[in-house]
Amino acid sequence: MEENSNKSVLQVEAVAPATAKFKIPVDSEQKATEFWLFSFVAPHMRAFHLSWFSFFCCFVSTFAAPPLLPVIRDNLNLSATDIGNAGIASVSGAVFARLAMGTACDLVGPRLASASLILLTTPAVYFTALINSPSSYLLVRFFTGFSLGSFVSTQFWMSSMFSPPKVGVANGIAGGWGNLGGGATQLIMPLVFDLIHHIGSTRFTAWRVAFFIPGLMQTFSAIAVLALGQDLPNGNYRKLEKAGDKHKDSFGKVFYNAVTNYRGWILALTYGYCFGVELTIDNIIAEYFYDKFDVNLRTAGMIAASFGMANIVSRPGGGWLSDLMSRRFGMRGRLWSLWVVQSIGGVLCIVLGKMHNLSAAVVVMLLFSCFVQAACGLTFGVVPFISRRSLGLISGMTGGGGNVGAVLTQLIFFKGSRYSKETGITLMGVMILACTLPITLIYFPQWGGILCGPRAKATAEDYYAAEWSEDEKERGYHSASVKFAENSVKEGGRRRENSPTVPVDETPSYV
Amino acid sequence: MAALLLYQAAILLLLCYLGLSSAVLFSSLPQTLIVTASPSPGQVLHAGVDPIKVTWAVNRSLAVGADAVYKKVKVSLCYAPVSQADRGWRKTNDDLKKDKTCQFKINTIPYTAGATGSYDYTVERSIPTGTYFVRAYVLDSSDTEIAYGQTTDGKKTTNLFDVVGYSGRHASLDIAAACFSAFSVASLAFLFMVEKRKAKK
Repeated sequence: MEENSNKSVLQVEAVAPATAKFKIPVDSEQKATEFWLFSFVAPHMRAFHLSWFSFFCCFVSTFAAPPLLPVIRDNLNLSATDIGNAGIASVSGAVFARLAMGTACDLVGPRLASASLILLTTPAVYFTALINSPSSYLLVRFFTGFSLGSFVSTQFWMSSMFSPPKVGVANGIAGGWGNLGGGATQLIMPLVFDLIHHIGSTRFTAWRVAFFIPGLMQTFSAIAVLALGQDLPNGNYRKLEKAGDKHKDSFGKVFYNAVTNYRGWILALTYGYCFGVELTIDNIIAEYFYDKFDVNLRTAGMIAASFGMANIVSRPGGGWLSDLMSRRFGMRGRLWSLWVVQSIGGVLCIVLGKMHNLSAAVVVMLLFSCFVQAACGLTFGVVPFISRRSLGLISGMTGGGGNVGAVLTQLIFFKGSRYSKETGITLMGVMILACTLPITLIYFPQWGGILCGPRAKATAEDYYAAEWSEDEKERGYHSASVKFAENSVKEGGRRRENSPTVPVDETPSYV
Repeated sequence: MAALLLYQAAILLLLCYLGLSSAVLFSSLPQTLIVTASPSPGQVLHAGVDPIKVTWAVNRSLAVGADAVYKKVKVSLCYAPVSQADRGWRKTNDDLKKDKTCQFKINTIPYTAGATGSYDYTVERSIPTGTYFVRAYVLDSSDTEIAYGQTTDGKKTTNLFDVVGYSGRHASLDIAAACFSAFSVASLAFLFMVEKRKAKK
């Protein structure tokens, strides 16, 4: 296995016929070293499209209610407290779901894990059409919100399919285009509502019918994931495990390895203040513009949508920036850019709450959305390197932390009538700045951190091999980790010169 | 340069004048109408079904001829404080342009001096669940509010009635939701089994 790593991709394809079946160039782990956005080639790019679209549908469902709140709040006689509580509930279910998904991905693979979660939460979306009280509103939003756990399977799947030089951009686009659902729904739902209302339904029936759209989208995208997707480049988990090609890891060890890695906890906190803030804004922004600037439902929806729509480019931009910084400065570049971009997002949030003019508010909101979403992309440029053995659970912890941030900010600043919405937004910006500081504490011995450089003689192989005990190493369970370590050598930055065009993995010792 | 500044000052003054003159404050309006509505205090009306009859007459203590400027009467359904609590989108504001208390216009009827006016209204299906009272604004020829009357007292605590809104639910929606949910879970189970069988081979 290790001998292949110093050959070029072309030679690998000639020597090992099994790997020649991929149209896209791959590394020694059969992960794609290129990212072809407009292609559907199996299994890599097909997995990408299936995962981002199914995640997009989950976002559409979870945030389908906020743009229609001016109608729903009258139909169900909701108070501001009811609305705030439901907003908190909508993002709190996913805290647990993301952690569970992390483990599920590690154990049964991203395909089964995400399709199960998505299909089991669609009933909550359909039942939204039947609710008639504040408590039933809270319940459907709570259960629908569980579907946001599919974020973890998206990132896990991309990290399994794409090589380190491309993992940032793959994760960024998959995550960003999924998050796009939070923006698209602010356009889709008022449009569908208007259409149905125009055809002849009363307002109070039209919004109910509208909810079948996100429900159906969710059902069919999850079926597609199961029917057309594949867990790993070489096949699905179950098949590989039965054939002995993949060792079935133990939950206890995976769990212990994840929770004892402090970097996972720090990113969980900071992700709460880029992604968590994004979720909070998805929940409050349409109503904010509707009430403060007296625009109509469709206009408020369009403004709110533009916040989420920035995800088309800003989150992938963050992932791309992470990969770019890594090429020149290695992991230190990834960490620096994350800290700077997220802090600027915090400043813009403070400014947004102080805007009393509609056009100024929209402009600041758009800038704010770019920075906050780029920070999300930058975060997942770092996550794949924290752990190889517990990748799923670390992704889950970070993702779950994002939702915890959303719960906290809504609880503190946007529940009931304690703070006006604009004060809440400004204070949220201050909290972003404070909770982004811990990024300065992340340190990789082999690559360094924001404040300090790498330790001499520390290697990626040591770091990833340390996740396994001596006994496990003897049995070769850590072989995938070793391959990963070789492929992530470039995280050391320009110190190790490689030919930039050929996607080859070389370490000096093999040359 | 000086001409430009003078021009800008003139525009500003004009805007200020227009701004001031268009802001009608509720506290400045005299309560010269006596308004009564047919629902008894605490009565529950159903949206889309039950009627309300509103009647109004000018207060006898008003000077004769003072109602010469009264041209129209705008009758509205307004939220009582209990339906406004913790709901910022229904907040009362003294500036009538920003006031959100009376969101449902019943009708605007021409005013006949000295006579008692009335209007029959069926509670519309779109009226949400809540506690309400009726208020009538008197409009002058430029459609600006110049006086008012309401069925409740100054604190809006007496003589309120309830409306039960239309739920919007339909049996067909219930059935569709159940069917699609069952389909989603069933397709998961089916594909799961197919998966298991493939792995066994």
